[in-house]
Amino acid sequence: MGRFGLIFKSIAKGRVTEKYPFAPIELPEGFRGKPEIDPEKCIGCGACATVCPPSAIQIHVDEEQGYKTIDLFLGRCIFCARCEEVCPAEAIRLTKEFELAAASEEDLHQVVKLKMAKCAGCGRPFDTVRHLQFIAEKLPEEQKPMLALCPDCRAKLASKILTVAARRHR
Amino acid sequence: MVDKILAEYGAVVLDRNAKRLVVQVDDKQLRPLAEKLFESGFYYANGVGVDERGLGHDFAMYHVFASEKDKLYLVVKVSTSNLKLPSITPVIPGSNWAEREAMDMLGLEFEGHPEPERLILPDDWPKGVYPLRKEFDYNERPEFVERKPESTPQRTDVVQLPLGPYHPALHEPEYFEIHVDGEVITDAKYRGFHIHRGMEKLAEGRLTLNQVPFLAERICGICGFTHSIAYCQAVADAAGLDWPERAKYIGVILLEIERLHSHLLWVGVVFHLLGFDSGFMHMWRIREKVMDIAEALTGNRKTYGLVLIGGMRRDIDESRKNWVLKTLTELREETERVSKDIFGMKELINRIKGIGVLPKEDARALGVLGPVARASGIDTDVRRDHPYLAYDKLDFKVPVYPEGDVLARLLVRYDEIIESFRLLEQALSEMPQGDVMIEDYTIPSGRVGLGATEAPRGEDVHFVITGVESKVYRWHPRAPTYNNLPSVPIMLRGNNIADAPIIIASIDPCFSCTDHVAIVRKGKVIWKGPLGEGVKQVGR
Amino acid sequence: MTWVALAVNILFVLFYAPLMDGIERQVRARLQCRKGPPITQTWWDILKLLRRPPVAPEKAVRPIFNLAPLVAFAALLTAFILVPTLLPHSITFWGDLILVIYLMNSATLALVFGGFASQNPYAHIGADREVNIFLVEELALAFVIVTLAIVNGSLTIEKLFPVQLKLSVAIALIAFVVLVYIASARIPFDIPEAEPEIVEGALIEYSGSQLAFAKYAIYLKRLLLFSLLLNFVLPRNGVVRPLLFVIALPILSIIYASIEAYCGRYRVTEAIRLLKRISIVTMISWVIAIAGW
Ligand code: SF4
Ligand code: SF4
Repeated sequence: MGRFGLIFKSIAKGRVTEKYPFAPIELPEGFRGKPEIDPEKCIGCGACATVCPPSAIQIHVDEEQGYKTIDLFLGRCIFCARCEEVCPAEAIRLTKEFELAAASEEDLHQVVKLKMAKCAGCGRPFDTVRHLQFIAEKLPEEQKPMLALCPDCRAKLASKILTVAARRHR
Repeated sequence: MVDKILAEYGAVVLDRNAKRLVVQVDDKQLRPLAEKLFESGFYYANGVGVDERGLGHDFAMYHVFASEKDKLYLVVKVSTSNLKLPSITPVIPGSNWAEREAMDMLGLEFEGHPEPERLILPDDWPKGVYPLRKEFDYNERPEFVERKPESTPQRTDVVQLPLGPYHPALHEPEYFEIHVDGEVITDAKYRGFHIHRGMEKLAEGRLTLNQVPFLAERICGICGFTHSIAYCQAVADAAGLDWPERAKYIGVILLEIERLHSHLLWVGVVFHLLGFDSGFMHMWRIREKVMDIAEALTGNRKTYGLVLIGGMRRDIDESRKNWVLKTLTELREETERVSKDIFGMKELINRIKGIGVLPKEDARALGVLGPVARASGIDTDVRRDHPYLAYDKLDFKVPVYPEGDVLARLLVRYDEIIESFRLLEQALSEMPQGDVMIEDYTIPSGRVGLGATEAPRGEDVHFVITGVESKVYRWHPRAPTYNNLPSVPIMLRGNNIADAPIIIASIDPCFSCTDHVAIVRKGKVIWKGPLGEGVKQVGR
Repeated sequence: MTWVALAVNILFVLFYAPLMDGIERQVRARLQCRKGPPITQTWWDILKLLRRPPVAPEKAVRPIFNLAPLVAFAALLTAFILVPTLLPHSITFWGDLILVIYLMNSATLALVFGGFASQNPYAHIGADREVNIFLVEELALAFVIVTLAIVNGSLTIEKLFPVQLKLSVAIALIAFVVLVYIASARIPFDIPEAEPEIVEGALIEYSGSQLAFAKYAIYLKRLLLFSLLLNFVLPRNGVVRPLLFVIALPILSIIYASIEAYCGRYRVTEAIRLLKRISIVTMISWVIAIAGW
């Protein structure tokens, strides 16, 4: 048949190219588009920033104002969904949206600003209130007071308790 | 057999398992050992220079040899305290680039190297700054030195024709200098590495073990998944991890889907280069459906983002299996029908028959890989010779054609497309149930691991040394085009200038993969001037 | 009256030539399962290019480089004064067919010289190939014309068309149909332009309005070849002529473009070998014509 077979075939097939962008294209379930953080749910734990391969998510801590910001920059995002995988609060989700053209770079940032709690010991803001609440729900009652302390003070307190206990033991 | 040879040259075994063997030899024994290995059927697979000072050693060079016969990867390590090592390029030409790369990136010196010139670093990179040494920070920017770009001396006896760095037939920046006599090519030179991205440094400097797969996947714009698999296999090899069976099958399925779309793309491009755009459209029409399958299975058309060191991140939905199988059967029939029609077009086939011939001996000496090697009569395929994932449980043929011309390369790839369809059907229907990921594992530091996969363009070899705090100490991916490119000048010689683009394309070159490893300054003119001069000579 | 008719003809070809390319693009697109650009696209392209300033390479021989596209364009436009198109009117004198061929060739050669003048190696190769093909093509064309001249005893377009059908003329006509295809530089004979190989060949350095004129000239050449072909078969006079003419042109476009969509490019040597064969065929037709059939 050679080329004539092909000519007939293409006439029979008709147009195979898509109308996109004039018509939307179909996307399958589970398509990985741009991530979105739900600012209501995010607890500011920072797990997503740790795993994100291209560092599209960055955490900034403003100690003076007592705020922690989670800054997702879509310009760096590679849509790998690692963040979605690790987020304990199911706050970050990949959507089906993939059209990222924006008029300015700011439009590609999603920023979540969370209030931080001050350490009961030294007064330094050390973690977001929501993260502490999140942990508190899972912690046994007697350990909860520890949450009011920053990791440094907590370590100091723990060692103090331990030494006291050890002395008593002796 | 290998053990006998190794014993003869006093090699000390450092580590071994069924698939690979790591040995250390004295630098004086290296060249004779390499020669002996080459004679007994090994080819040069990868060469990695390592700054081992962080591990308490000196600098070292790891030469990786592979043999289909022994089904073995042999890693030969040589250490040096004074940066000097013997070159093995005089006995194995395939190691030429690897040694020059170590020269550029680490400052090692190879005594007896036939052309100890820069390969990767741009001409204006300062002397004495070696980006892969550990004291060089990953985000450091050295001062560039103003230097005139080196251009090869003008010859008056031939016409020099530039092909690239930008050329519509080459879809990535690279540069071939072609010497022509009338319309016939007499010689060709290659200058590449214009798009080195510094990936190795980034991986060592900034990423964690489980982040590197996503970077590895971006080595190539077409066959990236196979790189991420090769990397994870290398780490798994170093740590002695074994993936769950189901994960292995999923890996095979997506690797074959990748091969399908890559080969279909290539066949289309070949038709386009021959001026037959309708053939291009037919191939890409079929390929688009393959992309749809990939998108449905992984969530993305091209970057599957599926693999971590412990296995697969996403399971294949059983309910989608039937749809995939049905679509694949349709696509196979469609491919067969369309290809039969196209192969019936005599003038197309005549155009690529007998051009760009690569003789078997040259192919072997350069360590040419994949479809290019198979079209030159070398029976090699990592999937069969060094089985990984679930390939040892599946049945497939390895097409080999002895002619060595562009047509043979087309036929090899066409046969592979059909084999891929068969593999996919098998893997999808035989896939066992179970987990797809192992969660609990520890990665010991300072271990050498090797991962090899058969990418659509040939063998990918990833070399890994694990580090502390879930980082890689050294990661060196080697893409197949790295080995295949040096064969292009041989193919070009004696051919018509009209056939140059198709010959270059016939190795399915992937320049960004090859160049994965220089930071090229933006806007840098690699080559300038001789364009006009070339004209004077043309108008002689 | 003739002047008005000539003006109509010229306006028609000026308008239709780019449109014809648009139609062919659309036909090819359809045969490649694509939507393709609208048929007015080539017109828009030309209008856009005309607004852009041309850029010439530093080392180009400016006068030749700059003039070449205009010369080609003007030569072809002049040819349309001699060849009847939509309306059967044309300026006619003894040997005008020769002049038409001569004008067409000077257009081709102008672009070749423009290519050489650009000092670009790819343009050189393209121009080189163009000349090679052109020479053999010329030979075949000459035999076709001589055959016609012998049979009709004239070299004047007016007297020539429509031709008497004889064996020799039939052979020559068939050869001419193929020659029209080749001379309009369609795949597999677009060797001098071959995008993936030598990047548009002689035209590589042209841009802006110069490129517009060069392209326009190429479209005009295609239309001129089609018009010559149609003159062989269409009735000379009457109201049906313009009608048939505008119907026949797209049909020719569809046929030629379909062939073009399903061919691969030849190498220069292959093309020349084929052309030589065609020359032999035309030579035979000439011999037959001398014999009086
Ligand atoms: S999808 Fe991947 S790259 Fe994007 S923010 Fe999440 S982890 Fe980072
Ligand atoms: S809650 Fe989720 S989105 Fe918010 S910081 Fe943690 S991981 Fe990121």
